[in-house]
Amino acid sequence: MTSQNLTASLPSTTLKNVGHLALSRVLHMPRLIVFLSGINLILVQWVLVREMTALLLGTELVVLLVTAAYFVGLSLGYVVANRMRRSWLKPIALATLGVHLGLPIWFRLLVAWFDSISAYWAAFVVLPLLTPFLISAFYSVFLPLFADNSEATLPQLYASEVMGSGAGVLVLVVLGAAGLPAVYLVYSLCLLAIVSALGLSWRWTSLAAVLCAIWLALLPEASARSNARWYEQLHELPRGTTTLLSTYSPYQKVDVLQDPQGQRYLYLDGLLHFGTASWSRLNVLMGSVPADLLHPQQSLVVGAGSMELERFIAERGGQVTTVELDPVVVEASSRYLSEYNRINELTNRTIVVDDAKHFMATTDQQFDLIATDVPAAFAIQTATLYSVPFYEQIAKRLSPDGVLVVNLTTRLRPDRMVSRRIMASLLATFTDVYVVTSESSRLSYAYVGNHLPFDSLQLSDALRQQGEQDFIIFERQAAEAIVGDARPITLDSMDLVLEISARWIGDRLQWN
Amino acid sequence: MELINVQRLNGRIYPLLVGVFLGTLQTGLFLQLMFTYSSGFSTYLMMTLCWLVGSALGVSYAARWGVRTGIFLLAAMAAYLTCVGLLHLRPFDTRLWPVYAILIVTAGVYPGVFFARLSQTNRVASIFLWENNGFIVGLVAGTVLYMLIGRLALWIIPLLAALLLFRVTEVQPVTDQTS
Repeated sequence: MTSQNLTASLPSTTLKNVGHLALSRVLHMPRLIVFLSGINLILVQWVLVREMTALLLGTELVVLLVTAAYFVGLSLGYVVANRMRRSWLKPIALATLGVHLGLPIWFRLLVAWFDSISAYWAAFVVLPLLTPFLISAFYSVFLPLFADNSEATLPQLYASEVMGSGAGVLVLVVLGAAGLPAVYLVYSLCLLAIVSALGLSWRWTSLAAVLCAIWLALLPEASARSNARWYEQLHELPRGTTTLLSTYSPYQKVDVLQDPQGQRYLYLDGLLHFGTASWSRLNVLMGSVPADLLHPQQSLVVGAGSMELERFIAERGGQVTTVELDPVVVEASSRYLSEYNRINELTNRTIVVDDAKHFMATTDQQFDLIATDVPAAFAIQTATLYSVPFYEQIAKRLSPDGVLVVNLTTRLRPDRMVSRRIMASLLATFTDVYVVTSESSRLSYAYVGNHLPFDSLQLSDALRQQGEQDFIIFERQAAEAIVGDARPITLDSMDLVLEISARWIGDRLQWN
Repeated sequence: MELINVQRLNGRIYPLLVGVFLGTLQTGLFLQLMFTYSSGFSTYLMMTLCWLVGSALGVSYAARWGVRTGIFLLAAMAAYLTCVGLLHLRPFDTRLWPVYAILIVTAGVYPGVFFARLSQTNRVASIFLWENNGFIVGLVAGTVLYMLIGRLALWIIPLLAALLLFRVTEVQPVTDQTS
C-alpha cells in the first residue's frame, strides 16, 4: 500500500488529526519554544517599559524600577521552572496571552482609577509588584525546564533563546514604526505557536487565534480611549478629550491629544511638552525675543517638541535647523501641530534627525542663535544636554557674537537646585550672561555667549515688545550670587538626576 | 559536609558574581556609548545584537575550546576597557562602529562560555536564577553609583567583580553533548 492510498483510505477526521500531529511534532521542539519565548520577551519588554514609564511619569529611577521588575520576573520563572506541572503551562500561556495583549489598556485604566480615588501613589507599588508575576516570569520557565530534564542541551537552548532575542529586536526595527497592533500580531503568533507546541488542542488554539484577531482589530480604538481617559484623569484634561496619536518610538511614548475646544497637547513619556499658554510663552521667550535682538542668519534649535519655537525664529528670516533624536516626535509635530509650527508654510527650515551631542561634535556649521528646547533633567540622557561638555561643544558652534538660550526648567532661586546647577554649567562655559525670570511662563531663561551683542536694556525692550510685562533680568554677578556653591553638571556629577528622580517619586508617594 | 556547603555556596556566589559583572559591564557600555558615541537607536541596536551574537558564539563554539574560562573573562574586560579608551580618544567618531561591534561581540562571548560550562555541573535553573539576580544587582548598583560618584563607578565595579571572579572555581570546557 502506498502512502497516497493509505491517506485516501483514512476518514476525514483522522486526516485532520494526522495534520495536527505532524504540526505538533514540528512545533514540539524545545528549541523552537525557547526561540519564540526569546522573541516575545523582547516584544513584551518593549511594550512594558514604554507604557509603564509613561504611566509613572518617567524619570531615571522609574525606568530602573520598571527594568528591575521585569528582570525579577525572569528570576521568578527560574524559581518555579522545575516545580511547575507541565499541564499548568497551557492555561498559563492562554492567560498570559490575554493579560499581555490587554496590558496597555488595563494598566492605564488601573492607574487612572488609583488617581480617581486619590491613590496615584499605589501605582508605584502595585505595577512593579504585578510585573514580575504577570509579564516576564512565564517565558523564563522554558529554558531551565527543558535543560534540567535533558530535553535539549543548554548550549542548544541558550543559543536558541539568544537568537530569538535578536529576532525580537529585528521585529521591533521592522515593525515598531507600524505601531502596537503590528507588534502584537507577531507576539500573538509566537505565543499561539508556543501553546500549540505545548499540546493545546487544535480547536482551542483556533479559538484563541480568532479571539486574538478580534482583539487586535479592536485594539486601536480601545487604546485611544484608554489613553484619553488616563490623560483626563492624571493631567486633568477636559472630558471629551480625544487621542490623535499614541505610539511608542524607539525612545519614548509619544502622545498627541485634543480637547473639546480644539487645543492640542504633546506629551512625551506622559510629561507635557506643549499645549498650555505658559508653554507658548516659553517659545516666545526662547524664539521671538532672541530673534528680534539678533536677526540671525543661521539658527539651531536642539529638540523638536511642538516646533513652535522654530516657527517664531523662522518668521523673522534666516535659516532655522532643528536637531531631534526621535523621528516620531518630528512626525507627530509635523502632522498634528502644523497649525502651531507652520512647518508646511515656512520653507527656511531644516530638520536633522540625530543625537544633539553627536551633531554638535561633528557639524562644521556656525550658528548665530542656538536654543535648547529639551526635556528636564529627569534622566541621565537628557541631563547630558545640560552639562558642561555639551555647552562647550555649543560654544564652538556659536558665531563670534552668537547667543545660546537655555530654559533653566524652574525659576532661578536659591532654593531651586536644578536651575542653579544648570546655571553653574553655563557660568563655567560662557563669559556673558543674562537670566530672565518670566511671570507669564513661571520659568527662568539664560541668554549666554562670549560676546553678547545686546545689553540688558535692549533685552528688556525686546521682552516688552513681545508682551512680557512682569519679569526680572539678572546680570552675571547676580546670577553667580544665586548659584552660590552649586556645582556644574558634568558627566561625573549626575547626582542631580538621582535627586530629581527620587524627589519626583517621593512627591508622588506623598512622602514630602 | 564542608565540601558540600562550599559547593553550594559556589553554585550561588559564582553565578551571582558573574551576573553583577555582566550587569555593570552592560550598564557601563551603554552609558559611555551614549555619552561620547551616540544616543541614537542604532547604538542600542548595535550593542544588543553584537552582545547576543557574542553570547551565541560563546555558548555554541567557544565553550568547547580548551581555553580557561578566566581567559574569556579577561577578553571581555579588555574589550570593555578598549571601548572606553577608544570613546575617550575618538569621541563621536561613528565611523568606528565596526571596531565597537567587534569589541562588544568579544565581550559577549564570556557569558555564553560561562553558561555552557557551568551547566555541566549545576542545575540550569539555579545558574540562571543566581546569574539573573546578580545582573539585577549590577544594573541597579551600576546606574545608581554612576549617578552618585560618576564614571569611576563604571570602571571600578566591573573590575572588582572580575577580580573576585578569578578567585572562584574554574569550570572545565564543555564536552561534546550533541544529541
